[in-house]
Amino acid sequence: MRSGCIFILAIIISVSCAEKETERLGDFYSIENIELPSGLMPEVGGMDFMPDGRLAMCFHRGEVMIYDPQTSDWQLFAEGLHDPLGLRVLSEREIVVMQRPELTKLVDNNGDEVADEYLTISDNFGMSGNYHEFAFGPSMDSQGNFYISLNCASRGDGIWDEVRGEFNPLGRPGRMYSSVPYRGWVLKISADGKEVTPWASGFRSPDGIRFNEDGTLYITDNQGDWLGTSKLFVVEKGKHYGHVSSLVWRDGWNVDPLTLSTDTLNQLREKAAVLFPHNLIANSPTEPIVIPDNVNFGPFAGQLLVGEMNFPRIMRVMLEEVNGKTQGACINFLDSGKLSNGNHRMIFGPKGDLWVGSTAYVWAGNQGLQRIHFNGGTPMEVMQVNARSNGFSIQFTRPLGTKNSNLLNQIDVKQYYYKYHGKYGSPRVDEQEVKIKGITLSEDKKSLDLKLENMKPGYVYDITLNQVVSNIGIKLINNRLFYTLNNVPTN
Amino acid sequence: MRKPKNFNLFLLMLFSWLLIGFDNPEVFTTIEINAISGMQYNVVRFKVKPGEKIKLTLHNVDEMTHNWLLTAPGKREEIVSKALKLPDGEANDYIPEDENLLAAIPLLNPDQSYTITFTAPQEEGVYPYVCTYPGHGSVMYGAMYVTNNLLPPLASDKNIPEQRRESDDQIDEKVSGHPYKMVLPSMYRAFMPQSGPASIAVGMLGDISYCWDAGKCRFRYAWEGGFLNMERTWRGKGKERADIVGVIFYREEVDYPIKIGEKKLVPKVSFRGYRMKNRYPTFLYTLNNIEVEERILPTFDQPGLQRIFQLSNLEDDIFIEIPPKNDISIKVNKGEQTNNGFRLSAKEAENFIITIQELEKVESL
Repeated sequence: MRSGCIFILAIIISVSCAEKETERLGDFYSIENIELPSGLMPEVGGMDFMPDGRLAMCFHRGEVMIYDPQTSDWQLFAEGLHDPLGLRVLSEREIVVMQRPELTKLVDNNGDEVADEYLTISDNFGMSGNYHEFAFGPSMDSQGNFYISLNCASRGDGIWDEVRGEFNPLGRPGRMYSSVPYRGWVLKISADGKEVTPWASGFRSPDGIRFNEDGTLYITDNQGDWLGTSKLFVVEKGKHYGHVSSLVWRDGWNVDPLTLSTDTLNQLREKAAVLFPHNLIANSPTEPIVIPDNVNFGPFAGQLLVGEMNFPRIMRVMLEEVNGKTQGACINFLDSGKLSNGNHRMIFGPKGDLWVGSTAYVWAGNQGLQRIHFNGGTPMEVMQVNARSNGFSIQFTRPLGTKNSNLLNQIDVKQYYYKYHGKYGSPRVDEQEVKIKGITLSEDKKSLDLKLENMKPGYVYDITLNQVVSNIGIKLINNRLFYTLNNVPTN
Repeated sequence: MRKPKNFNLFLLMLFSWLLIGFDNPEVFTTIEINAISGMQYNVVRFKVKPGEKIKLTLHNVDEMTHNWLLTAPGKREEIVSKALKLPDGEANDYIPEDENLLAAIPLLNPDQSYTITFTAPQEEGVYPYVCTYPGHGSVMYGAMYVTNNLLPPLASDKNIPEQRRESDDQIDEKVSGHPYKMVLPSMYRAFMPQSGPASIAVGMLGDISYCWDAGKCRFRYAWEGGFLNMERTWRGKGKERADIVGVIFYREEVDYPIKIGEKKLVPKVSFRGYRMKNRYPTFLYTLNNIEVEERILPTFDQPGLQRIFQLSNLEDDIFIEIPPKNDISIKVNKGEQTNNGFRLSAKEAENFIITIQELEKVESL
């Protein structure tokens, strides 16, 4: 017995000594596929944990099922819903689901763990019959209000003769369009459904919506018309975020937005906090979630994770406030081989694991459910990025190695922007190398200050940190970050 | 002289087209059948009326090759063995020349679909359909019922494969597309044909189904012979409408069937959801300030359904204005009949039942 213990100890020592130069984040996070019930088409629309630690999920074919991680049992809670794409648990007996036609509260009155009431909280928005009018959410604020986001219709299909809600011909032209009320909007809906407030406009395909505990509403939107590349917005009441068709549902609006100049339209919009450069990091971002302080999920508590459909990837977003506005950078978080693509919905479980549900909807994607567990340790990563008046300050999770004497040759910075226009997407415009004028390593060697020859507001700064290693010789795992410089700080 | 491949099929289709004409697609009853894994059709039986015009599509969603042949009553096995004996079977899609062959869809590779149109025979009876690919014919078949009557219980139906004779109209999860057996009654929220975009479909016992429009809070139509085929709507991005299995026998084509007060005003509606009991929904909605509960159940004496209403906060009389239909009996158990419907006092309207049934056919000699 004693010799066995020593033997195990020896293995542990030898493993830690053999720490290699190349680490992957997958070494720190293990990914497990969850077995799904036979016959289920596991395209995940929404997921949330119940107070007792079971996971409630909704699926493309209309089922709401509950998974018990203790027993691995699945149980049917509700069925027959129309394309549910979001779910929040209110209590063990009440689940709210966003389905295409309504925000619905599923109630189990008799405690048999099957919903016996499907009650409409609100159907106070239009449907044209166009397949692309997906409905997302709900997210909830601390007062129990619901926030839902409504996809625009697509030119890939028309509208039906019979629509629900008022038809507005001004919203009918365009690639993606809003011909019935509040397509392309976020709506705030009171807990009882009696008050519906149009909250913000300018969205195209706002699949990811999340109210953070601090009261910040995050929404992701997908590259397309009026979105040169995919985006993360910090959404505030009454503001407009750029996709133009939804403007027709503003009070007193009486013109086809497409007849206005791009300059005029540009004046109306708020910019995104973070751009996700197309093909370089994400093509179709999904649900954002903040890593809570109280879970053991690595060194990035308080930062945002964002799912991605087309690549087997979860992204990490590092935000800061500059001149009163939120902006920041995105970087790859996890794209180890085991991670699925189609990462659509994410939620932290009671044990601090991240649960990820996938979908495809015939687009690029996948199906299924994965659980990501943090194994401990400190991956060598970029911890935070802050804009300065003359460059960027980049912090790392571990001190940099002394080999970094020649950092100047190991860091590449590019800048570019994306056009705001009605065409689908945008190339990277005015893409140029940015000269680094100087690099300063902090005394604790955990922070680099880059001095750049310019800091142009409205540009993405695409920073690659080649050959940057930690003090024990470990390479930076994810070495390319993208900072959206809306505002340049004065200091 | 050797006839061209599928000559019979060609003749059949030509004949059907001549009969039906090209210009009015509305008159077809659409039947969608999938060939699925385990050598079976997902639809093992369906019902049509004598002389009904049918547009039938076979989707091969299996990994093997399949065809679909409709035969005269009792002729399935004969056609299957004749197909096997064809000298050049595969080239002829295993479709033999035979007077008892009524319609056919050629061999389809995986992921192929094929649509034919034909007219149901005038003679009532059970018309088998079958896959004649070698080895499939003894298990892969189903039955087209040409009848005005109800179908026999599935569990004791000798005209369908034994493994599909399940009680309570259950369809197991391999076929249902869900992680559970499909049991009638059942319901889907779905994009439905000829209804608004927020619709509900309910399949009831007795193979009577209906579509209820949650956007307009009203009944749209009822059909008999099956429920829904969700395959096409599930396969894409949700763009396609669900396919009805069976025949629509009743449509409620009216601006709004319940009108309030002497002025017969069309009420403002609001959909409040539904409550499930014994797997049947009770719809909850409001008409102006009037709260409505509407529960819909099948009738078994004649194909049809009952709509059981409870209204509260009523002050005025209500008028139920449903246009009369040929072959359909519409009854309300309260109030007085008017020239275009029924008038119920506020008191009577607290509880009433509308019964909608197919009229019993009188056999002519």
